[in-house]
Amino acid sequence: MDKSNDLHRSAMEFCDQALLARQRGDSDLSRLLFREAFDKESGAASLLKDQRDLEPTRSVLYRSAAELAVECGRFSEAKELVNIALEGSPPEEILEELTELSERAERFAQNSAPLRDAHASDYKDVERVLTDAARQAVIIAQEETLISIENLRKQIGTATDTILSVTGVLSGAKAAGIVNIFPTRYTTIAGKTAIETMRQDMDIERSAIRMMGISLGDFFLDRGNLHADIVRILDSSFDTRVKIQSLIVHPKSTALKERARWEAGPEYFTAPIFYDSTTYIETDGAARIARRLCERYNPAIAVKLYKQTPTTFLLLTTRFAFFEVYTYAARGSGVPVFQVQAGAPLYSQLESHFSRIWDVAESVEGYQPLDHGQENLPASAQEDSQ
Amino acid sequence: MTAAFGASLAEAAAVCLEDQHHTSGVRLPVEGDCDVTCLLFWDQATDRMKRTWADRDAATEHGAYGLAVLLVRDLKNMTVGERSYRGNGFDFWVGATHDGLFQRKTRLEISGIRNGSDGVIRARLDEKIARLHRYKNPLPALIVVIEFGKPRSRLVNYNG
Repeated sequence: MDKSNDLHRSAMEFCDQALLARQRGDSDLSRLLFREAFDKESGAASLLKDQRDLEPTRSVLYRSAAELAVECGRFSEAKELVNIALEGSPPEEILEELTELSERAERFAQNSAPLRDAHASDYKDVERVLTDAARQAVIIAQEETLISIENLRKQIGTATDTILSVTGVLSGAKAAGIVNIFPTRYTTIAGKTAIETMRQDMDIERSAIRMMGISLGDFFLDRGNLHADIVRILDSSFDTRVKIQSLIVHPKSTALKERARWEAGPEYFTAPIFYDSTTYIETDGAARIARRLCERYNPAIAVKLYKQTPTTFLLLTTRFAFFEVYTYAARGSGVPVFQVQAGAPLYSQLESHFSRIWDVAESVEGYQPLDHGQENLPASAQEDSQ
Repeated sequence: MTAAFGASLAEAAAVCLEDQHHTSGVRLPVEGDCDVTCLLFWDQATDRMKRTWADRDAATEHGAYGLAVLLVRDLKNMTVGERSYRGNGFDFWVGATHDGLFQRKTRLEISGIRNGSDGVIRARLDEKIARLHRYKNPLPALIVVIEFGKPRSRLVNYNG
């Protein structure tokens, strides 16, 4: 009896929890707890199965267990429990309740089977639709996954190629002391052009600025991109002590005529047509302006004219070298500008290139602008006369 | 009865009483076998309690359980000794516990009305008594009807 009491009380505690779970809307937990309660209560009742004179306890326990069986949807077990209860001698009102319960369980059992059978095809339809939808979802997921993987593979491939190529460029550039590569003099890279980078570097230079080119039009011509900067640097040179050395191709040199041939046309190689070429006009103009600047800002600036074939635009400060290779492809800057760290072997080589030309070049102060008396002389004669 | 379940019955009663615009300290007349007035005190129902007991019938039934158990204890000096499960709720049995589960216990027949007239209360009580009258040897019963509208209650001891 004590064992039965314990099981019953345990069953009631599970009922408490099951009802509270149902009240909270947690039907899954409620079902589980009712199942536990049923097991306990049916166990408690079964212990009194043979104590048929223990009424109303025996019948009340069986009725309680049968009610829990109905709660769990175990209708046949509910009827069995009622039948066992009826084998005893339940009080009249409990008997009436057991009978009503048995009928209710039978009704539920009968209703649930036809209901299930009647909707069997509906269930199959729902199952099929769900299955189709699930299958379709899987196919779509697979396709999307494959597309994603393929896209990812392409992106990784592109990125890898880029990294490999950039790695090669960066490795080579680093070895050469190159810290920046501008596609052209006027192309913006990382927010700045080569011209702007050079301007910034010249602005902070307090020692020496060396430059060489053909006309150095960006520096000496009045509409040049860096002309105002050069003038400004020279204006403040008394305070900054900066020195500027410039090398311009001799305006009347064969080397410049050769440039004119490839920039303007073959006929411009020979005087007097050569003097009509932009190549000459700009270089001559730059030389004359440079000469004026030398007179005005001496000794802050020194300009020399060289007759060697121009191969490189070069700007040297104490921190960097900027260089650009000249070609005969066309007029204008269409080749990269390299920025080289001072101290790198390449910087020293460029510095040596400048010094060697500087040493043999002529001061612009001796430059005589076009002598009309000589303009019909052969180019070689004019050059020799300078 | 577990403490958690007892607390939930108290919450249901609080929700029903406040639904009828009563506040803690309201008077509950008890008629029938006795003629007394009880004072009901409770903690104010929270929003969570109101959501939990949103089912009006379930709240009324369980709220009535809660008050009936207290009335029987205070007025009849009887405590709920046992319970048995019966379709979405319990049958309560009061009396001494040492006699074995339901032996010599009195069945507590409880009925709750959210808001009803005297006629409704009487009809509910008569229905319970009429059912017991049908039996030659009915089990001893205490019939408690709780009405939350006024509120008011009936408590009748039935011994056949």
